[in-house]
Amino acid sequence: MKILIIEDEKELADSISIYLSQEKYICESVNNFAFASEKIDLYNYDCLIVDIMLPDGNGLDIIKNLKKNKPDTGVIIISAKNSLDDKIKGLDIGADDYLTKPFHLSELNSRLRSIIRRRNFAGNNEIIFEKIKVITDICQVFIDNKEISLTKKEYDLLLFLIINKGRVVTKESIAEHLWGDDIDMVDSFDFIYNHIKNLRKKMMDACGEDYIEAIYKMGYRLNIKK
Amino acid sequence: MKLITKTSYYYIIFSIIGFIIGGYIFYHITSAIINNRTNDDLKTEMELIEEQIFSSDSLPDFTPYFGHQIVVTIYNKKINPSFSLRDTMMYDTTLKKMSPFRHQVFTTNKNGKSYLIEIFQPLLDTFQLIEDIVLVMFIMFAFLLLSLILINYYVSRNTWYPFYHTLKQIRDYDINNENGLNFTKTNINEFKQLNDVVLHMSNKIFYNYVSLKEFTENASHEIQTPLAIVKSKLELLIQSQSYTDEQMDMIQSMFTAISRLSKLNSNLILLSKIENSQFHNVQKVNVNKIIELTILNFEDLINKKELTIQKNIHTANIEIEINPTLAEVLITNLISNAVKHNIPKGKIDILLNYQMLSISNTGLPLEKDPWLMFDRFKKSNANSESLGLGLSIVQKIANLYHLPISYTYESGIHTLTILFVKP
Repeated sequence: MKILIIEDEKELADSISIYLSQEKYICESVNNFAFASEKIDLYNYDCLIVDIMLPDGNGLDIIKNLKKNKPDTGVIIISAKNSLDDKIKGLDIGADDYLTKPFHLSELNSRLRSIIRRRNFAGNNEIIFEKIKVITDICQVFIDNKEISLTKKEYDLLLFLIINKGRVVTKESIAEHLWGDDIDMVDSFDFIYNHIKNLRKKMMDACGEDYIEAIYKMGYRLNIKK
Repeated sequence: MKLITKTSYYYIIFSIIGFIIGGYIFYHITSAIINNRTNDDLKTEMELIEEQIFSSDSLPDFTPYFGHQIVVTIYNKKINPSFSLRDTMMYDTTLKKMSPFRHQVFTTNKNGKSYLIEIFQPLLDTFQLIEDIVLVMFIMFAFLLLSLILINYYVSRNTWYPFYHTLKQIRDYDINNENGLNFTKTNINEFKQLNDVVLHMSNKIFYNYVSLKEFTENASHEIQTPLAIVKSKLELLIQSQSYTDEQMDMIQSMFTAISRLSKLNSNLILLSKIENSQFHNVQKVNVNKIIELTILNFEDLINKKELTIQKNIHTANIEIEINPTLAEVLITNLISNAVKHNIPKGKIDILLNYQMLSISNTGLPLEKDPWLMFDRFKKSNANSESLGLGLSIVQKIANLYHLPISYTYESGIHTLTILFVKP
């Protein structure tokens, strides 16, 4: 998967690049409007990650241009501005998603995956991790070929962990993914613990394996058993 | 009082005083003139009679007319000359009553004979004349006064019109309205100056307002980006396996602090945007729906605290004119507050109808004055992790739409009420 990161803040672009590269994405990054336009004209990407506040232009124009010439490319807008108007504008001109800074890299990853999944219908609505198979368009989960039932929160949590497999996912990022901004941090960690507990139990019951590892203080990681 | 009233008031008072003094003087002058006229007539008559006697030895025709009488007494010797002119009351045969007369007495001699001549001039008509003249004058004065007052009033009103128009423009000024101020053209210097100064001031204010809005947005952008960087670096940092528990503690604290900082920043931005009226896009918003969705959002927390929610929600959809984003923020903050500051196994009552939205929750009593809770950053005892901005945001939104908001605490129940109609 080829990703183009258009972000003028180098540190942030680097962070995104490193994280996504570990996900086996091929990442390129540019830091201004001019370079971005060039790259888009010359090459094809599966998805763009665009910061709309660029020093020499507006990211929205890049998106408009892209949609005219290469409409199959996915677009996530990242921006410090959290206004409804901007979100609507962005989505109106064809962006697939809008993420406000600051965001969790794991969240960005998750959204990226969703977009790519949506855009490639051919065979990619199945996600397989070890003995777990998730069919995303109908939200069904099979462990060891046995269907298991999960609550919505448990499903979202499992998918989030699978997409960010092998990485430490912080409790904060899980909380934001599941509940958005509203929930208070202190309370949410208890819920996360409960949902993980339930998830683990269902996994153990279905296939005898527990892939979830608790990382001291930080969060959780879905591990490939060696 | 109004300016016109005040000027008219003084105008009337001084006009009346002026007219009274004038009238008084006028009366006396008129009286004097008419009196002198009478006296002059009598004097002329006296001279005529003397002339007649002197030249022709005979008396003029003394046919009385209109009460005017002449009495002559002839003496065949010289008598002492006498002369007098005074007013007296006599019986007037024509009018058949006692009335005032002017009595002129004089003597003259001719050929050894003396004539004592008395002329009686009735004064009633004269006095009547004076009265009539003064009355007419009075009526004219009154008419003059009235018309001057009216003219003053209407001229003032027209002259001051640009001023009142300017006042109205200032009063209706809305900084969000791009039309700005429109003053009527006037050629009165003072009003022209006033308009210029106000226009200049409003432009300055508008410029400051726009600058402040831009500053808010820029500040937010500036802060969010370094925050994003720190967050992303921390996330990459924890992917590495080898940290001691102590180090993990520190990293976790950093994560928590960054999250708080993010939340704080977005809330502050929200507050200043509300203050700057940047949410001026209003729509009819379905309050019932938002409440249901919000409760769903807090489901986990509600279940964990084993809270009972009692919904007293009107069957019809309650709609209010409000910016949709602010509506969500408002209700989220209200319900969040009711849930977080609740006691385990506590209760939440939600009342929604055409008049109001009222949310009550059981909870520990506040340590301080309830209205201070609305001030930024003041927190109540229990939840030291929560930011005190929530209620401040609620109050700001309520104030923005002029919805009266009140808080009460009674027998262990906190109640926040927002009214949709004027009480």
